Amino acid sequence: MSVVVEFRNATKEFRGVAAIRNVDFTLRKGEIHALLGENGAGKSTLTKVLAGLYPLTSGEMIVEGRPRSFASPGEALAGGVAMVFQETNLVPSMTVAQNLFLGEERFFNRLRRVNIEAQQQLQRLSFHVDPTALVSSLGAARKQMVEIARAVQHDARIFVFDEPTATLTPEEKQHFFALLERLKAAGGSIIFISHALEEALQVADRISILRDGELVASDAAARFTRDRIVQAMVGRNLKDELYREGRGRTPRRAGRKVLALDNVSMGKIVRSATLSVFAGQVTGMFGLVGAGRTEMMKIAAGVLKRDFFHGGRITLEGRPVRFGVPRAAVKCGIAYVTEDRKADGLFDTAGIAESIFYGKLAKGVNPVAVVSMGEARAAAAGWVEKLGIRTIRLKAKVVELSGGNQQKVVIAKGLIQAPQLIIFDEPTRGVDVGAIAEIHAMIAELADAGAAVVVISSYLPEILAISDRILVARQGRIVEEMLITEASEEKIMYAAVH
Amino acid sequence: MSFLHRLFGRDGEDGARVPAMDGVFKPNTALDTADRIVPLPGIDDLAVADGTLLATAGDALYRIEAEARTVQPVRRFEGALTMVAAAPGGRIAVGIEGRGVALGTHDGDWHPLDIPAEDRGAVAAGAFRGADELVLAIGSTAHPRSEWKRDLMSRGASGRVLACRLADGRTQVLAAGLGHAHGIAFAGDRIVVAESWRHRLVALPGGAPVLDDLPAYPARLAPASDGGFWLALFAPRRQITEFVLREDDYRREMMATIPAEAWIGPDFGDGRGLTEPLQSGSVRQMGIMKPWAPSRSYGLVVRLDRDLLPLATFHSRADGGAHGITAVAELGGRLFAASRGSGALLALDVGRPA
Repeated sequence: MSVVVEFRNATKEFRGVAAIRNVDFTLRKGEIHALLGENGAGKSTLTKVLAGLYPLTSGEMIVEGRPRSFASPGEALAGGVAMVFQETNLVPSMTVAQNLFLGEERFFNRLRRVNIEAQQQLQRLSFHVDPTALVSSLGAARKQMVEIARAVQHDARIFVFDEPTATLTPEEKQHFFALLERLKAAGGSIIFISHALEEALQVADRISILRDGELVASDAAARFTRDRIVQAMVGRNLKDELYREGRGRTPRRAGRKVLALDNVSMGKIVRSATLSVFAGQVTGMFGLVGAGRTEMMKIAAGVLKRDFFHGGRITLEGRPVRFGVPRAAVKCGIAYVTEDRKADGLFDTAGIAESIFYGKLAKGVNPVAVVSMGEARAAAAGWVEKLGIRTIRLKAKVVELSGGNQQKVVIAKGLIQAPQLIIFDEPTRGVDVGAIAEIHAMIAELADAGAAVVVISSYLPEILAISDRILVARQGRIVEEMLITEASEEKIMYAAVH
Repeated sequence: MSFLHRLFGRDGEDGARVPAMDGVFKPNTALDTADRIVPLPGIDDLAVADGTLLATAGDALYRIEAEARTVQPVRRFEGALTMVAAAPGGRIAVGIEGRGVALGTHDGDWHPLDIPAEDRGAVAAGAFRGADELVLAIGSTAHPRSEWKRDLMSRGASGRVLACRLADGRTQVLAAGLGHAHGIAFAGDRIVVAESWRHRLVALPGGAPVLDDLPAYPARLAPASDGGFWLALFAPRRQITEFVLREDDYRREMMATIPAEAWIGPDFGDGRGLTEPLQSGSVRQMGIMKPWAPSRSYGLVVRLDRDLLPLATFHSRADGGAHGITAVAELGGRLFAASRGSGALLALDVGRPA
């Protein structure tokens, strides 16, 4: 197979700090190449250079036999390179069809033609998305589908997928893998970044692993095992730390009932949901996309509102509550750690200390008091140390951190409120394996200290590794409850589907 | 405001809601698979007197030999027995409907205990505190024990807790205005009382709830071997019952015109008469089972720790056959449960005490 992309001795520095260093990487025609590594390892930097977002500091990038340096993503696209970013870059106020044809508009556009072509494109990919729907009304999985469709739309020959499956259901993932195979069969070359190592082993022809900006391994996928990948990624074997089966351990005892949802309804998404959360336990919530598990917890946290009439009842520590805004819930001791940290969890341009201290401000301060930034930095410094947030200085902007460290900032923002109920929504999405272990340990510590913890996750090994009790949501309700001692992946998935 | 909440189904105390059976209360079939020791129709209360298991049923007190699976009457009384309690040393107290409390021993010599006249109809539970004091839970001062359904449907709140000094016969009211005091236990210096109609356990002195919003009506409490407690719950809370309890006119007419066994409300077991409301009615429509008549009976026992937090539960579900658990007692590593609904004494292995 001919080589379509080659990096020779590629180095990219930001203010003198090398994000990738002396990397030699090749992508062959018609292969799926998985690029793995912890957050901050340099995967995104390498692919962003290819997609025209950054130029190399030194070294060479050869695309289809020609040394190239794309000045912009548009230029890269014209050169046959399309990138589907980790966090979707769609315009929320436009329809799916308009997003697909963004940048390709004619002087006069027939909306009907745009919609029909978009429909055809989506159907070819087996994506069940309404082309006339506003992107803002789509869930994360469907947004991802539109993003993928847009890349395919541009007839690119080289595709870069950054964490494409993080938000997809198992069924949608199978569609996506079939799509990769079709792209490959048509002569496309694919770089596939994922934190789900099993997926890389399943779909990739070759695997390359980056660590601290350097390429540490590159080989045929068949020669890799999960353990070898993890060892190469982190330089140590984390098998026992990550995703160890919880069935062997004794679940923590349920304490007092902290939160109870009683026949809670919200439109067609949450339908008479009833559940309880107890102190001193990790309650795992699983459900496929659209099952309403996130919405149930968002209602409890005041992010969403239940139906005004016949919306059910929520009790916190035995008292009925109805939160109009999240702040009221925060004041009552509920912290919600969002699944979408970019949109809902952080101000990108704020500093780390400020971001963490915002959590404390949300809990309520004396309205006539002056906020001391010294106090804010002191409070934040404690959490930075406690959660192991890796940063050179507290004043650094959140946007400069890797995904795992950003997630820790969001968690610290919640924990600084000293909540009695903490809801983690996909706490390790887009987080590297090292940070996953640390976040899991921190969740266990919270439950051991007596807090009521809810973990919403679409990743079954994660649910099984950290939960004491598991709730399964389907069609807006809780349909199954099991202790960790009686749970298995098969039982949970069966309840979620049937 | 209350009217508007009811009209629009918004939350508040007006909602006809019952707590979910989840967490520790997740249903199982432990009571249905329990060992049935002996049939004893009308079995109501249990006590352990010097290693011997005693049970009340109708107007008689029985001694039960669990290993031999035999029942021997100890004595018959002048009225239906409403409770039995035993003290170390072999002293026994029984409650007799309409007559109050009688004190005695296995081998005769029974005499009445003088308690106020209004408390004699519904002595629901008792427990000895030392050898010289008997603490009594009076379900109602308005209705006799056998009319417990009328007490519930009248929204009765006349339950009391009495402390009776056996040496001089002095009686002290420790609490009043309870929604059917039905169980008594001692947790250190506190007296824990099961308040059936308010679905909770309260601690005396003070009357603060220690376990609230139970999914069924609590009955008797019993000490567990490791310092915790056992709680029997005799019937489930259902939305239809909560709804009926809100509708005063309906309830008044129901009580005035229909026999008590046909009332919409909780019960010990499946109805036997054709005129009784159907339980667990359902219809299969387009492949989906649609329940339309809830069960009015259930079997439930809860294991509580020293702090009265639920540790484990034992169930007989709506379609089970061990409903109406009115009393429990632990003896020799086994838990005995009186199933009033099925008229049988059940036993579960709960581990030998250390």
